[in-house]
Amino acid sequence: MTKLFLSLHVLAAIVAIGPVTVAASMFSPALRRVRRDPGDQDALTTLRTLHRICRVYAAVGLAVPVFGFATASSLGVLGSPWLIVSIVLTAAAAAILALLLLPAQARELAALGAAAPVPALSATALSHAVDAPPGRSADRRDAPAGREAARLAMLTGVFNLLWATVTVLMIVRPGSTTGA
Amino acid sequence: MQLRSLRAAALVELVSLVVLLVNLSTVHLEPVTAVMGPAHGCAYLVVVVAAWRSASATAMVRILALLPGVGGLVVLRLLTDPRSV
Repeated sequence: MTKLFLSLHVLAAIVAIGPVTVAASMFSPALRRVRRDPGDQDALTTLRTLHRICRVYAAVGLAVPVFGFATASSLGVLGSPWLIVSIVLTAAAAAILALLLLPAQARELAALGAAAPVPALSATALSHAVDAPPGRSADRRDAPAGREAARLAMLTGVFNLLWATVTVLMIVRPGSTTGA
Repeated sequence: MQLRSLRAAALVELVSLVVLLVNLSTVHLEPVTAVMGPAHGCAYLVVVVAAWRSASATAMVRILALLPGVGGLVVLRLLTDPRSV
């Protein structure tokens, strides 16, 4: 059963976290492109798709810790320091994604959707705009156009760095005696 | 966070807890505990964060989201029922 859990854990990590890291990294350049040319509908569609990939695969990514804990408990390594550090770093990455990155992306899309001349604002962007915490979007919208894209790029960088660190920890497993 | 993901998390939160308790009181298979335990924990956290982030949630709704097992369904009910809080 351990092998099944481990396979599903690695599979989920590859299938879910991979797309999020790539799509989140592509989001800020795409955002800058839309800001440069607000009439560019293709770029706006790309931006919406990238946000959708981040959102959907973040939800799929919940399978990673679920099967990770299942693997760890059936291996009996839940108390290992390398695993505890990995869990903390993963929690930090998840918090950055769910509480900072995705809401910021949704805010940017909502602002762009409101400013765009086309009425075809997607339902997802709308619901996110409604659901975003109040009082935070207004002050950000006045910020220089490039600043939010830079902030998103920084958050994405931190998120990707955390994941890379966790991946290395999973392979190296410092202090582990269960073999390479 | 969308209502659809809250609904899914609420269901997982309750169903996984029921499966865990039934498993514990009957056959007590280790693999079932190994998968359902983390699934329940994840669903619980998703419900708490979703309720906390929801703009339409009152302080009471956010506190009720912390209820173990049924918190998700309670929050869902309060957020979708126009007669409630």
